[in-house]
Amino acid sequence: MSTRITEEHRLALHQLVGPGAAEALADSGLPQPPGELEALPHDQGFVARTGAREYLVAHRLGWTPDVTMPPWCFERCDRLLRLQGKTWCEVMSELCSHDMRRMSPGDWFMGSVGGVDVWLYAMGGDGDGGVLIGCDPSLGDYLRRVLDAVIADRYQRFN
Amino acid sequence: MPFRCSDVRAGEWIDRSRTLRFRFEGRVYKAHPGDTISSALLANGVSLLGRSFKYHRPRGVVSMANHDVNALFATGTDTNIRGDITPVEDGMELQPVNVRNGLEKDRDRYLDWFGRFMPVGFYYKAFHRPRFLFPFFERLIRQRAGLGRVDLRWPARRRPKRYGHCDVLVVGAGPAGMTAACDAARRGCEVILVDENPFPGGSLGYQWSGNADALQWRQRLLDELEAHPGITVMTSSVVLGYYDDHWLPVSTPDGIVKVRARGVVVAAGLIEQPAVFRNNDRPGVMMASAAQRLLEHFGVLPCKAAVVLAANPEAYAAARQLQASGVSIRGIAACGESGREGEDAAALASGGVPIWPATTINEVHGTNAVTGVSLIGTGSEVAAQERIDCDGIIVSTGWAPAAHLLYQAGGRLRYDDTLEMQVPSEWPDTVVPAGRLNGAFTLDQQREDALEAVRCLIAAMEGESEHEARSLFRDTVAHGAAWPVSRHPRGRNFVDFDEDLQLKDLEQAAREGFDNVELLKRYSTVGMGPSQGKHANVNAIRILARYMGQGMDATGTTTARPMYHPVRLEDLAGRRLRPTRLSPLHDHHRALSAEFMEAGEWLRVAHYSSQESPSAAIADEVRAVRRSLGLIDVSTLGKIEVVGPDAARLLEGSYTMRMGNLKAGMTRYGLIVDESGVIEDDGVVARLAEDRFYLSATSGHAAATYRMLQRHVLEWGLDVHVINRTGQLGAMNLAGPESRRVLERLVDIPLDEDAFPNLGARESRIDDIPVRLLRVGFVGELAYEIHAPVSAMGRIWDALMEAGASAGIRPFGVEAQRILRLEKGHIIVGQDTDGLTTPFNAGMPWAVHLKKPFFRGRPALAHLKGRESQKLVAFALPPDSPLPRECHLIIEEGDIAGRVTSVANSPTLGHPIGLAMVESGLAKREALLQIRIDGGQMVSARRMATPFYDPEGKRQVAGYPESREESHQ
Repeated sequence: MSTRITEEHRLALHQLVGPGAAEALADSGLPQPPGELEALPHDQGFVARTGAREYLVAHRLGWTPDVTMPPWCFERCDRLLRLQGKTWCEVMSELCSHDMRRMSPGDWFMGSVGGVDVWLYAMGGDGDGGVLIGCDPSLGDYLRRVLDAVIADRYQRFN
Repeated sequence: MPFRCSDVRAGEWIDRSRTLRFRFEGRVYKAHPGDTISSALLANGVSLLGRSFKYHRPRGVVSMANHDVNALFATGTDTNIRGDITPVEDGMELQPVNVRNGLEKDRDRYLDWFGRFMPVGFYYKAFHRPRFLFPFFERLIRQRAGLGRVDLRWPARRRPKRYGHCDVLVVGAGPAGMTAACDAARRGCEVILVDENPFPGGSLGYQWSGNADALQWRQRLLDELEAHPGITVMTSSVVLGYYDDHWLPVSTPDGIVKVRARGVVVAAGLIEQPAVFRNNDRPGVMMASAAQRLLEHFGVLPCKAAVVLAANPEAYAAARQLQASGVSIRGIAACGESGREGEDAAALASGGVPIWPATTINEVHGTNAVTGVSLIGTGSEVAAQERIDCDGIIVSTGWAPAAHLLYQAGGRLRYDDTLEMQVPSEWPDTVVPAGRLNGAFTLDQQREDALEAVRCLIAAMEGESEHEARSLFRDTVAHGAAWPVSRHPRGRNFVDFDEDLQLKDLEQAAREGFDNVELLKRYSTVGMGPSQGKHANVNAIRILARYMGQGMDATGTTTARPMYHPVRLEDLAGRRLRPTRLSPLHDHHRALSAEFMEAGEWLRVAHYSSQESPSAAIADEVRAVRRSLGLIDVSTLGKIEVVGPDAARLLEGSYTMRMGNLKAGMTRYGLIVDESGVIEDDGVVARLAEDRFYLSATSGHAAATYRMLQRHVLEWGLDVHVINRTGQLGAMNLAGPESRRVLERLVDIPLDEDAFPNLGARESRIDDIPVRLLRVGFVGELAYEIHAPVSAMGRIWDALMEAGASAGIRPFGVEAQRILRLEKGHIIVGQDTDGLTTPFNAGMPWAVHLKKPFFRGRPALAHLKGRESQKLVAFALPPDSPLPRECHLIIEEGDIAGRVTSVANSPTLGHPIGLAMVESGLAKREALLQIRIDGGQMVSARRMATPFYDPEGKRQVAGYPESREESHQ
């Protein structure tokens, strides 16, 4: 499969912060990643632990905890881009210092891609499942443009 | 191609089955694919390849190893191309650089005759008097200086960089490097092997070509490199430097790869060093390794008859190799003892080649090429011998390790008196030397040294230290001469070919007091040319050491900084990665024909286009806000949530004003200073609940404010969470006397003065979209900031524009906002303040609550209060006055007394107004401000009090009698 970038619109994101966050996830039947900067999948998405008492919940059906504050829940509007294809690691190697080859499906990473703070969630699939990239919505157009340019350049160089 | 060998060499890089043609100085030559420019020209009998930098002396091949900086070429689209490594291409049109009227008859060659008038450092001493002539000489020198000429019409190019990762990076694919790479891979490491040459093999490919065992070993290693999946080979690639944490940029034919390795084996080999004798720079004088490379890589004979200057076994081996290929060896001058008793020397002697012991070269003859040589004994009492005719001088008198990476990684070198060269003496556990650069010369030594290096490296990578186990395989014979320098009364014995520095220049510099190696370098420029001293530094240190009467180690060495070889600017530039942030309303603004401006990373609306000029459009936007209604996108504001039991404590300690007593549902202006009391940021703090605050910050400082708050949470051990929602939420400001009337039709809460007073904060909904409303008036009118998720911003904008249409709503941009706030006398942090401005300088003592027991910057502000040396003052100009610019100077009695920080024509007041930071004395005197504007003209500004507009602040109160809202009711 050729490398391509697509927009991911189906996932609703929420940031859950504060004491009782893990319990709120458990009450909703969502997994609680044991370590910081780890993620666990669920039927409708995944949950990533972004801090000691901070979680990012990705859910296709949308989700908010049925609790009073705390924990505090904030809607997230991250731009979600899915990079797929056999050479997705090579594409990322032009933009990110992290060794993407070491990412296995389900791995979570927070770092910088093309000078922009992002989170990455390695998708499943037979080796070319690619990666889901989330970034600040104000930087989404820039990141999309850069990824498109890298893919186009690589296509020109290698075809 | 008269100098091309007829017999094919075993490891040739050229494809003899194909022929290509290229032009050099207009003449057509033939070459084979794989030839470099230099090898192709030498194959055609062209040995004059360039002119030197300073004296324009004729120059040719020296190293064939990417160090031949006197053989640079230009094409129609590129310049300073290194001929010794750049492949020649079919149809190439080449010209030499740094010449006028062709190489043979270069018009500047006469400069060589005037060399005595250009001694070391002459440009520090000459041309300064008479002073009026200095610009003439400066212009002349600038015209003559430099090598290739850049054509500014060439298009700018960029080549992307990329990152690479491995366990072990091996630098150099010679015998030691290939052995190390294979061994590391066998041990399970992922390996990247980098080599400058187009093919791996290193010295196995040219120094050992007559050795069957060596060739077999090379083939085995090449096979293993190709077969092993854990090894990536990068050829024609240069490791440019070593940076912290094992980052090593590698310049490849496809651009720079920034490699992160867990460990590094430096097996980069040696750089052969020239000997210093009269006319040692003539085309035809070259290193033995250069002659071997020409012969074995390209099948090119370096000359037909050669005299060899020898101080090591490699010289005799090279002489034998050349002789076997058809070069007549006219004799060998042995300026060192090493190798003279070896097998190669014996074979040459038995074949009738004279070997002259204790002899060196006195002088090379010939103008544009070598035609002969005169020898002299190494002892000064021995007279010069007769001239020997030859067309080539092959020199092998010493080596220097290519140990720059080791040095940059924290390693050290020392001079080894046995080997007569520098060797590594210490190095980090995970950056280890191997092979010839570590003093291992024989193939067995190189193999064992490489295996030992990998063993030590992997032990270190696994946490063990094996320092003492290294350097077990160094050779025990000399591989160079202790003093490969020959004096001549007429000089022209060059130490640095890049900079045309002779023996006398360095001695003169030392005599003048530049007797430290770093000072010598900077004064004489030795080692500062394009080859960065790769052929000059060792001999320069030798010369200084002898002059000072001290050893090599006591003399020291210069710093080997990245990059190892010059790097193309297009590679350094890489892909353009310049993050640009767009507001969630960006498309709406484009549809309204907005003119955008950069504000930090953000692209903001400067103003909306109209049929009028920009200044007229901006003035109209200002008037719309003052008279009826305006709407501005302020999504770029920093937006930070602070939640938790200690939220109030965090803000109390972070802002200069009281925050703990702020009532829920209210906002307060907040000012942040650093530890020295200097203003860093400002914004609005809203208290939403006892344990929940919502802050805004300036667009450019939001991330820094967030980081500062996070740091305070950790430092002060607070139970609080700080969430940066700058990009997640959008914001817009509905401002003007009509704002309440328009907004109250859209929200589900009352907006009257009692229910939602000035500085209030409320949660509400617009069309079922949850919004946060802050009643703040940066622009000095009744105004509401509306904050909402970015996904809903478009709908809210549309709803407001529709609802406000009857009131004449007009979107306005940053330029209008800046005028509106200036009319109110509000500062912009970063524009009206700088890195020294405290709240007292800015006329904001009211924002500093020193009664608070603690806040960041309090001790400094307590000390600074009443001691400010500058103050921000307001001024106004007559309507017909020319408009100063921000940064224009305030002059008092001929001296600078301040600067304009903000200035604009006020559409509301009908004349220019502004702010200026001036000396406190001037601020107190209330005198006219004298502003020097463009062209040196002075304008007088009268002092004003702020706010310029609505000083009582009545217009920010809903229902103010003059507002149109009242008349509607």
